[in-house]
This record gives sequence, structure tokens and C-alpha cells, in this order.
Amino acid sequence: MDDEELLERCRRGDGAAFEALLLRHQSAFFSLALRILTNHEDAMDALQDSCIKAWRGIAEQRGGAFRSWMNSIVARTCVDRIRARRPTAPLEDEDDRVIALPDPQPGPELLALSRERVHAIEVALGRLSPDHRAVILMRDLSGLSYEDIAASLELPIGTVRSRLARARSALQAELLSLDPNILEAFA
Amino acid sequence: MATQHLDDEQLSAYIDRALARKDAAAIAVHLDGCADCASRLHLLRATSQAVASLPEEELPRPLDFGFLRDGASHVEELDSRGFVARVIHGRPPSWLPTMVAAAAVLALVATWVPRLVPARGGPSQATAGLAPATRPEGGGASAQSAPQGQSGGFGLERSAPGALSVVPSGAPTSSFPEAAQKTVLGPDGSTITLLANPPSATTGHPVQLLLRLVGGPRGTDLAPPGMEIFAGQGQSQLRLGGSEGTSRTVKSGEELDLTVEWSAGAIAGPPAPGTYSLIGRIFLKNSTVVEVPLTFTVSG
Repeated sequence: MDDEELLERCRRGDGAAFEALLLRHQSAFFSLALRILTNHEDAMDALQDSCIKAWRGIAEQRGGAFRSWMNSIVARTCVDRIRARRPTAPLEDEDDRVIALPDPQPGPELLALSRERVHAIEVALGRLSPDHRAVILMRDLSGLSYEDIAASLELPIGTVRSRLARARSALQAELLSLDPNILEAFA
Repeated sequence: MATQHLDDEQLSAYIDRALARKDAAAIAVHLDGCADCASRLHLLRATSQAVASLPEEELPRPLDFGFLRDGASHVEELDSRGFVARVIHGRPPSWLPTMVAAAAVLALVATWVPRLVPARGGPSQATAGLAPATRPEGGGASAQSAPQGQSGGFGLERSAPGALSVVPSGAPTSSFPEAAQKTVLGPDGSTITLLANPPSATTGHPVQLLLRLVGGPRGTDLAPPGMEIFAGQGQSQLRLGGSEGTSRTVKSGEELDLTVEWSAGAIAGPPAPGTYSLIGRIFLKNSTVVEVPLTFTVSG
């Protein structure tokens, strides 16, 4: 059964269909939450919250792929959690950099080149402001459209566009500071 | 040779093909003649692809799907006019001992704000065909008994039997003038105050409902999905609002509002005359829920 069929069943209150959909895509949703929140437990909690939200709202879900819709909910939930965590610090502060990921000495498992690259990207993402991190992950990791991002974060599309551009530039600078050659692998 | 370099926003949108065709064509021409911008585009695209290359991560533990079978399960029923009526089954557990330590003040405000509509869209016209929209099977008697033209009286009903008790109302404390107020107490001493204003409206107008939560001195820990508003009639409940305040702690005096319009979502018209329960649910951590229905009447 494809996503659309399962989604239609969900709209009629079929919990088993909802569970099947989530199990099918849970790694993608968890990955998005993890990259935004940079913490496994927070990401797990956010994903659990998102599932409940999605179930409560699925009757009103109309059109669009389940994965994109759920990704939007996950991202919004993560952003809300960051706001709750730091209520006095506006997320819109573009200069605010949170170093949420430690940079441990690489263990043997990190010696593989691909693992090093992944680790570097995670570190660089962790140095971005939550706003920048969320928008770039929504676009480049989850593939959400500008319109979906704008709706999820309740921002004008123009703001999404400018914020995404700044986020990419900031991430590029962070990546190059970690490894001047890292982007050659993705060129 | 190009004289003005492209900015990051243009390059970023170009990567995403989020530009109008004419603008994208102009940028392509510029990139052909500008090695500097072409190099910047190259780096920006590599940055985007680096993020896209991140592998999916496995969950550290399985998701808990208990909510599908317990407090949040639902079935939908379509009434004869196609409105969705959602029946909520199950109740989260009653107050837990941990709440004793978290003394808090919750204020639940329910108010409706009639909006004037053009004269040609008067009440009788606006409600045509919508009257029984939320009326469940067997629930018509209650709805029909609502006095026409009466100012809606607000009454507090017990909710979560055994968990809450009703105490006499005090003076309104809300910024809403002339708000009706009643207070309920939980067994742990937590206080929930209900305010409602104003108590009158007629059909034919969109109705705005406001749920307000005021944090207590030691904070009120909300659990997902935080707060929700339902309109109930008989055994049917229509969810009017989404969730708000997810997983946050409400500080002393901080107020969270969830404002919804009756005309929003699945409910496509103004409320029909009748008696409804405005049901506010506030979800606290540890699966505790505070639920208080507030009875009100819609007059024609």
C-alpha cells in the first residue's frame, strides 16, 4: 500500500495505517529532528510530540505528500522546543551561534573519510543559529519547498529565501574553517 | 563582462530553481561571463549537497504508539451535511502526585467575538443549511431547547469526574472586561480559573474563541499538544483549535493564547442556534489533562 492510500485511511481514523506510515519514514523524520536539535533524546521527544500532533491533525490534512507534511510538523516542533528552551533569545538573532555539538577527539570509527565528513557537517551545522539550522535542513535535507517552509515556520516566503541564503553562506564558512577541502567532495 | 556581482540570495534561489524564468535566465547569462560568481555558486551548491548527503539516523528506541490507542484515539463521523464530528475516546490518567510539587495557576478563557457581517449576509441567510451542522444524533433536544435571543449563560460543569471540584466564582481578574469567572480546584491544590466574555452572540457571525492559560508561580509544564479547544454537543466534539505551547513551561504570569475561529477548518459556517459545550483541554506532563467544559448557548 502506498503512502497516499495509507494517508487516506489515516484520515478516516485508522491508527494502524498511521503507525505504518510513521514506521516507513521514521528514520527521515528522526534525522531531521536530530540535525535541528543536535541531541538524540531531544530529537526523540520532538518526534514523539510530532506524531501526536500529526495524528490529531491528520483528518484536516489535505493534499500533499505525507512525508513533506510530517517533515513540516517535525521541523516546527523542533523550532518550538528551541524557543521554549531559550525563551528570551529570539530565534531571529542572526548573529547568535550556538555551539551545541562538542568536537571530541576522533575515535577509530571516525577515521573513515565519509564519517569524518559527516561529523564535520554536523559540527558546522551545530554552530549555526537554530533558525539557520532549521531552514537549511528543511530545504536541503528534507527537500521541503519554500512554500512548505514558509507555512511551517509561519514566515513570508521572502524571509525564507533570504534566511536560507544566509544559512548556506554561514554553513559554508563553518565547513571551510573545519576543513578547507571538504566541499571538494560535494562539487 | 558583468559589472555587478550576484548576491547570495540570488545564487541560493538559483540553486533551488526558485526564480522566475526570466530572472533565472539573466543569472545564467551573468554566470557565463563572471568567473567569480560562478565559483561562489559552485561552493554554495556544494554546501547544499553536503547537507543533503547526511545519512538517515536510526531511532535510539521505538516510537511509542500508545497515543493511538489511549488518550488521543479518535474516529470521525460525518453528519448528514458532511461536517466532521470527532469523538474522542479515552481519558488520560487523573492528577498525578508529581503535580503536587508543581503548584500552578491555569486560567482558561473562553470568549467569543462576533464580527459584523455585511447587511446582505444577515444571520438567517448565513445559517441557512447549517443549523444542524454539529448536532449529533440524539442531541437535538438539547439544542432545540436553547432559548432564542437569549444572552448565552455560562455555566461550569464538572469535568474528569472525581478529579475536580467547583468552587464559587470570584471577581474577574482577566483583562477581559466583564468576564465571567469560575474556579475549579484539583486535589493537589492547583487552581484552574475559567473566564468567559461576552456571554452573547448570534448566529450569522464568525465566532472567535480564545483559550488562555496563565502560568502559576512555579510554572506549569505543558505536555504536547499543550492546549486544544473543542466545541461539543452531546457525544460529538468538533476540534476548533490546534495545539499550542508544546512542551513548554509557562512562567508566572505568562499567558499563552490559542485563538481559533469557529468558521475555520472543518467547520465551514457559523454556529447553529443551540447549546454547546466549549471544551478546553490543557495537557500537562505525565499524561495529565485538565479538561473543563463551559456551556454556552448560541441564539438565532
